[in-house]
Amino acid sequence: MATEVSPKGPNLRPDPQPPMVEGKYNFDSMTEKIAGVIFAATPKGWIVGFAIAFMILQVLLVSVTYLIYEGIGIWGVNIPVGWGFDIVNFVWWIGIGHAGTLISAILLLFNQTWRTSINRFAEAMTLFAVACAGLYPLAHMGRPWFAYWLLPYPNTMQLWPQFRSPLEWDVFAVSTYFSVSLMYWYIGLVPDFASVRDRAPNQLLRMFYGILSLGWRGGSMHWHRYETAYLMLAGLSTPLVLSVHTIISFDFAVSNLPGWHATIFPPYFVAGAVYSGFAMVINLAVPIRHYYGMKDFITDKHLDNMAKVMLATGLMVFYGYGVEAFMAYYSANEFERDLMMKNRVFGPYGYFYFALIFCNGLVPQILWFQKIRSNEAALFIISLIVNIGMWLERFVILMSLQRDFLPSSWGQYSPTFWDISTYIGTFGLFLSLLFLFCRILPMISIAEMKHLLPESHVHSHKDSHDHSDSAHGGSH
Amino acid sequence: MATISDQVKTSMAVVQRVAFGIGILGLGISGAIFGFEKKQFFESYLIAYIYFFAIGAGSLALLMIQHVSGGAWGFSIRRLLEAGSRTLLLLAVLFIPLLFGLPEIYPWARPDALKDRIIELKSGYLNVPFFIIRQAIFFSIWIGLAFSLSYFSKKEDETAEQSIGWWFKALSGPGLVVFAVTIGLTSVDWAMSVDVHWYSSMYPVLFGFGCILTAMIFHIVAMILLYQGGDLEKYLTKNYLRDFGSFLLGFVIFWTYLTFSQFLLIWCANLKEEVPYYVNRISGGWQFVTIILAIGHFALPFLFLLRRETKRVRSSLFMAACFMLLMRFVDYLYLLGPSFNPKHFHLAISQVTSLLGIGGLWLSFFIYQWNLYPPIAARDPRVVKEPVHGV
Repeated sequence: MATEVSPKGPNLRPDPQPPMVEGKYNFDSMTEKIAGVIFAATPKGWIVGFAIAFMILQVLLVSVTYLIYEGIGIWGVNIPVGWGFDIVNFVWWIGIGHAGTLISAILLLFNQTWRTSINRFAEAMTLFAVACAGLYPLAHMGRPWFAYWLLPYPNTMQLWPQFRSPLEWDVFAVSTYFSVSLMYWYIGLVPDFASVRDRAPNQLLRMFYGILSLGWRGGSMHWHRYETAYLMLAGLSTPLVLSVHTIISFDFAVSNLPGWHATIFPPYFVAGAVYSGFAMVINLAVPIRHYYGMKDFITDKHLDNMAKVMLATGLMVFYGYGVEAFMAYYSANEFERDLMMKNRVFGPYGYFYFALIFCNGLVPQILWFQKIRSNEAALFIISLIVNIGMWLERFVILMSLQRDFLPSSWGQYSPTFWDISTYIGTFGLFLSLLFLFCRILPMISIAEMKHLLPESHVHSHKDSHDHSDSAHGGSH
Repeated sequence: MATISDQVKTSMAVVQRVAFGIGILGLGISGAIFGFEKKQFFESYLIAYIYFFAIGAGSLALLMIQHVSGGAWGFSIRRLLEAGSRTLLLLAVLFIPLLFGLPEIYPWARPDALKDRIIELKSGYLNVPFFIIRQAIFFSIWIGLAFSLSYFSKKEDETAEQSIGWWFKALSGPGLVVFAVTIGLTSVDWAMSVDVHWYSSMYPVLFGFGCILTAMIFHIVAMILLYQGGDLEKYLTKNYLRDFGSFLLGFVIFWTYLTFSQFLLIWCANLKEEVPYYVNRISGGWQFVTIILAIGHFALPFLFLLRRETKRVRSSLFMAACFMLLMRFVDYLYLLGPSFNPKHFHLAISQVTSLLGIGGLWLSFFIYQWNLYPPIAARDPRVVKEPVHGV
């Protein structure tokens, strides 16, 4: 879909793609490389990995079963700390999902070709992370079988959700987020399902992938509609990057509590979410590209770019800590000041605050150096530290609850065995899904990767492609 | 080598002289008003000053952002951004009159301020000597950054050394961090401390982003006017303009997001130390300004810029940007006006004269600065390399 470009226009795009694919590939060998993983014999490493993940998943099942049997009394929550590990982990998991949406939607709109090889598994990560996150509020209800009461459906019980509560907004924000992300991910998979179908070794698999590919034949009308739908879903996903974590920040900020009621929370939560999300993408990308030999597709340049995004968002988060601390002083409000100094920094969990500053604020500063950004072992470790730091951030925010307005109602929170086992268990769910994903779906978008090959740009010297009119330029 | 067309050159010279004249005249009348309405003079001066400061500071931020992020959009307006950032020199001079009116504007600078318990608790930060020291440091940092970036830009033109690109990045990355901190504290110093009991942690972000937004709008207008005719015209093609239209749309949405979040959180909490800020803004006539902002600063530009064509067509983008330039002023009026005159809407004559005064001088200085360099950084590596980002 080439559009008019002024003949006087400067020749700013003689070569539309930066070298985002290394090695020599053509259309066929690229499909073979990515789709080949699916029909190859199951690697031993995969079996071991999946077995471990699946065992951890059982921890979750036991924990949740016992929780439903016994009630949330098995958790460490109390008065005044009515929210504990459950909201910390809920926010942490949701935050991780944000990188997937940012990579798939915003970077697509900005024509950033480096998103192409990482978007598929980043989106998968989003879905699985949101699935893990969604468990916590459901579990915290105590009676999760009444979860549908949160929805404003016509009923005879005169039941009406509390629309003034941000927790109710969460219901809409998170479910919208999940469904749009799922649709977006699936639409992107359709042409790839067809490629996989065409390579399937037997009739059963052909049918399986054939049904998933919705009868894709690769006609130009198919591509046209596919790209229109893809771009529209990208547009729909973009506000979700902001909205979901904004609503989550409202869970805290709408309440009148010192340490929670801070107007900076919305953008600062969003930056934190993207920060932890990119850390998780790096944590996944490094092992995947090693194990499956995908270094030609997920190149060092990709890691470098992700590290830069991490540094930028990390600085925003650090700025947020600074503003919070400054405003606590500047407010001259005794509750704000006491919370900051006597609870957050020098309170019972004060060492968590220092650990948080170390993990989220100081460690990522070494990403300023190109040498570190091109060292994948260093990146992997920094990303782990950032993920820990982001968990600590939510925990530190939550521990504001320990010090109520009256010293007589002060309390302390400590997680129980079941808090911790539920958290560990969600890793089992996340990793099990991820292992299955790597095994049965093309983990890198084949169709989009082909656009990065020189063969896709045979016409690029004759007519300039208007990249925003279609998701990937014109030629197929 | 791209050059400015002769027609633009002649009109620029005229505009520069006229703007200078208007500037002197405006400040003269403002000075006369100072004679009998001291308080009003300083209040109007501050609002007008912040408006033009936002363009200067925002230019510096955008200049550093485009050095760090790359992108053809940054390349095409780089020299405008450089000229804009160098106006901080004039803005530093124009700031000096405010130092003589601190007690008129800021409750914490008045002699009896420390009788107020809350001001007393803040006095470690909010006191006149520290205020002056801070502003001196901040202005030297900003001016230092602006002129070093321009210095290397000049060097790039002359020598075409590859290593200069490193300097741009090395200055801009840390420069942005320093900018974020300094502009955040500036927002507290200049604007938030007018309502001395009030605080909001979103405010520094909103103020800093406001600078970037104002500068972006100004440079869209400037680019469309100054690149007309001649071979600069090639930077006004639809491909380029669409990027700027998209920026404008995205920035307007983000501004609304920040503004609305701050409002919602304070309104919901309804705390006595916070909510007066918005009570002042939804009563006494100021509520109409709130509505004007909601419609003019969000709904209209949002709906207008949503269509792809309006972002790409020069005339419609120009119209939208000019309108937004006006709305930015309404936003700055809204930032401080209700704090100065809480009970009733008020737009003083001195507001108009100080706006014309500062604006006239600023504009003629901007044109002077822009003429110092060739309009396009011809040796920027992006001239040949970078693809256009489009939304």
